[in-house]
Amino acid sequence: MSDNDNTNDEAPKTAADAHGSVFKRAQHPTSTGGEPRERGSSASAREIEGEVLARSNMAPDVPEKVRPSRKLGRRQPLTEQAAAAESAQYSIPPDEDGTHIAPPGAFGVDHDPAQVDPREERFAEAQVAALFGLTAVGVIVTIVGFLVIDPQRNLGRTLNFVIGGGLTLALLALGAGFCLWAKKLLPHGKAVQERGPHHSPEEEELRAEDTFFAGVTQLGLGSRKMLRRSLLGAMALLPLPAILFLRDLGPLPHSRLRHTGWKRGSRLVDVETKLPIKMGDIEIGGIATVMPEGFGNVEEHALAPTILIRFAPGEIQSKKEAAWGANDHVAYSKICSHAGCPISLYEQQTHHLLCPCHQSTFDMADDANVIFGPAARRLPQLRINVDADGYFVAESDYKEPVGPSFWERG
Amino acid sequence: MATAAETGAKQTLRYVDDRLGSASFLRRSMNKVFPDHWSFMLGEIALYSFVILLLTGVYLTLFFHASSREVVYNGSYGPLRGVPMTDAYASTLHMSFDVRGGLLMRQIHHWAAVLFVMSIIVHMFRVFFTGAFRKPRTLNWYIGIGLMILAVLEGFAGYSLPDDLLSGTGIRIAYSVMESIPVVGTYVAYFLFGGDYPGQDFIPRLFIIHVLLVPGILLALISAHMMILWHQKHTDFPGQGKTENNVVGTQFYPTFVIKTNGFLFLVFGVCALLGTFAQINPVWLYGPYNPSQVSAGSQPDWYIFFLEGSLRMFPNLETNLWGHTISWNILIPGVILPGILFNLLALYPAIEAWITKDKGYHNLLQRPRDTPVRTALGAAFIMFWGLLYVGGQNDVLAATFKWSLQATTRTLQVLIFVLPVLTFYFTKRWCLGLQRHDEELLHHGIETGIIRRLPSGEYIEVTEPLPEQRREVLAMQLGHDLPDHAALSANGHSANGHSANGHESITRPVGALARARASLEGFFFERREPKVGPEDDEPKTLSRP
Repeated sequence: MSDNDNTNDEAPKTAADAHGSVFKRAQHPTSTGGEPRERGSSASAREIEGEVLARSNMAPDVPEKVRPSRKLGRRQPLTEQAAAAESAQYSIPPDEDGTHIAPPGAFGVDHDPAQVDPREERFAEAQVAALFGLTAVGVIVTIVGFLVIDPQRNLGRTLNFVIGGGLTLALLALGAGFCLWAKKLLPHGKAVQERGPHHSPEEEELRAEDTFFAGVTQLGLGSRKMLRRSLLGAMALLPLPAILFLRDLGPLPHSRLRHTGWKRGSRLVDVETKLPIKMGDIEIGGIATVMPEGFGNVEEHALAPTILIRFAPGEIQSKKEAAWGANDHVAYSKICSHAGCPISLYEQQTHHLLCPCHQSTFDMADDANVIFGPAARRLPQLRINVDADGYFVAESDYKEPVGPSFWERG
Repeated sequence: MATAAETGAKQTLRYVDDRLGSASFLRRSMNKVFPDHWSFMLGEIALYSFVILLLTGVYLTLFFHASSREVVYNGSYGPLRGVPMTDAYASTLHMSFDVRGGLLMRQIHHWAAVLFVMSIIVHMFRVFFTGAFRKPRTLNWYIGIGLMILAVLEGFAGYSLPDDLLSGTGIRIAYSVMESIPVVGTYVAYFLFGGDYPGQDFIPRLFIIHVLLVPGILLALISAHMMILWHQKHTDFPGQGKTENNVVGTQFYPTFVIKTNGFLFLVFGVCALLGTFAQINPVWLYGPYNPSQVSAGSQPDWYIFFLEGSLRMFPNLETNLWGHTISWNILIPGVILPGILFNLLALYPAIEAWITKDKGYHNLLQRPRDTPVRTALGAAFIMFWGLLYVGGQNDVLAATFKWSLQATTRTLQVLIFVLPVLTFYFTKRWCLGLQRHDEELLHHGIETGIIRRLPSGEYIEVTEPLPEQRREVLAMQLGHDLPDHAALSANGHSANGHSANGHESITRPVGALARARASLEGFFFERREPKVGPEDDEPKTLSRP
């Protein structure tokens, strides 16, 4: 299609346009230079070598690639004089908005349907009509597909492809049809409009100011102090109820961010199996995500998720960590101390726990010390013990707030 | 038949005009001239993707349940049958698998949102690098920045609504960012979410923000943007017959109407194409949100990447003072940095006008090379933003290329300071080089490659002068009237003809601020060497002994 566009664009408007640029320039040598100019022309060359050399790109020894014609746009623009002469014949006289139609070629690029070969025009019309026809085909495909295809087939993919494909065809063909219509059958690139001033005339500006300040005087906002002050006071008070009405959007934070749902004696329940964990349930080097026993919806305990890790004997380096654990098992908050993502990537060999959100890395054998990434604090440890039945239980809630930092955290 | 339709149309026009007096406005509007340039279509893409978003979005609201109520899924998608989840997620699954065309609409909506933000940002770059934001279009720049920020927020809100595991993670981070704000952070988070994270209130609240509040503001701002554009008329690039005081192009009616409608359908068609054949946000693969789970390689939509990257790259700073915690590691990358970036963007027109003392009107656009410092600043900004963007995927990069994650992050932490500076320097040199090339073309003409020997034995290179029209346009692009150019250059000041338009006279700066302004002005206008004198118009000669 693009090939076609080009041929039509370059369609012969005049005999000169129909030929290649070299020939064109040979016919109108003055349009590309050679005439004396006050600046910028290669004066000395012309003086010495004469006319032929001055039009040097007509010379046979000039390689194609240095010819300026390639840089000059698709069509040879008119000179200013010629454009001015032609503008005398505007097809529409300038109206109040200063809009007028410029003659063909006045601005270098344009398309004038009046100049197009009637056969070309009929062909273009057929092309546009064919595209609009494709739209109809696309719509029919969509409708038939919607009614005929089993929506369950192939997880709905088949239906999606057929109705989506039909819709795509319909829309793209319609858009292409419109664009081709505008490109080949409608005039473009030849209207000129005066902009007019961006601001009002100065006397208008002054009159507007006067009117405004006359009103200010009448209102007495400057002189009537009591009125002004009482109005300001009233307006300042008016939004207060609106702010108050927003009060019940949520509870006040107070100490809620410091509690997680763990309490003394809560058994550690595996979130996958929903069973309490006892010694031996986790292999050495293994981990489990646990919640306090009796948790309902996970969403109600967004700060409670805890990670239970079993180390080999003697692997734990931190004394406090070992003391707060039980039987080489330690429990740490799973909620990252950086931005609150649940930390989930545990590297058994290095005891590193990595947050997939921002890559904060914690050394779990060294009391969850931060060894990499944007987190600024260790993960809080949950003190655990073993109850009479051999199940792991929490000694208490976390001793410090879990998850990301906040102003009142301290 | 045709006459009947004609009469009907005339009667309708008359009917409306009798009541509104609209005929004169209608005629002027139909005659309105739009210049032709491909880059003016970027804003149109944004406008049309917004139309698509409204159409498909309304459809989606018919099936979406904005509720955190827990339900057990029992629809067509086997792997999740029997899984407890929120109603929001279940209804998203329902519309994807049990509503014919629902998945298509969801995907078109998501692709259109991606396209919306993308086209706004590219459109903004176009406006920035061509100087289209200058007076009188400053207000439209401010509105545009507002539109961009709202579009990003709107996209994030929409992407969070299905309550899948991926988007829930994004919301969790957003909650942490709110918490990090000093003094009021926890209150902001608690009031917005109705209490502890995640709570029951957030999805319905986010829904009404996404489908009513933000789209309403977007619609109002887009209308204002368009009305100002219509009123002020379009900018245009310098060209033959084009001046500061005219618009050359295509009339609104009939050609532009047909062209732009074609473009609307093409944009819609491309969104449909992507929505059909390119899967986006397959929430059924992520599973329902659960605060104790996350998947590796969690990534937001592309326009949030820069925030994700800044959170990943910022060092782990936190201070505890007098019983209060400030987590700089979230506050700076999550709140302060985007605040600075957006404010710099928004205020750039004011800053540049203040530095250059430019109070003139500008309807003709500049090429990026015509303002090297602005272009270089823009390029450095894009580089900075781009490195944040890359930083948002450091784990994916490290995994894909088998790099060390730590080394990747550390490298990015260094590059974010180095590369923007280098980008500034090289872009500026590049622009100046292109300017010099243009000056050569203007004053010496095109090199023909012919070397002639003079009778004296001297060799000269023959140049071909540019055609007159091309010279005029180039002079306009370079921004100087030929007669004044030497004088302006000799002044050591801007050789930019536009700057002569509305410049204050040069006075000696008094005070620190004025001195800073003067040195910034010198910095801004530092450009080609004042090499153009009359003697330079001679063609270059090549001498050989």
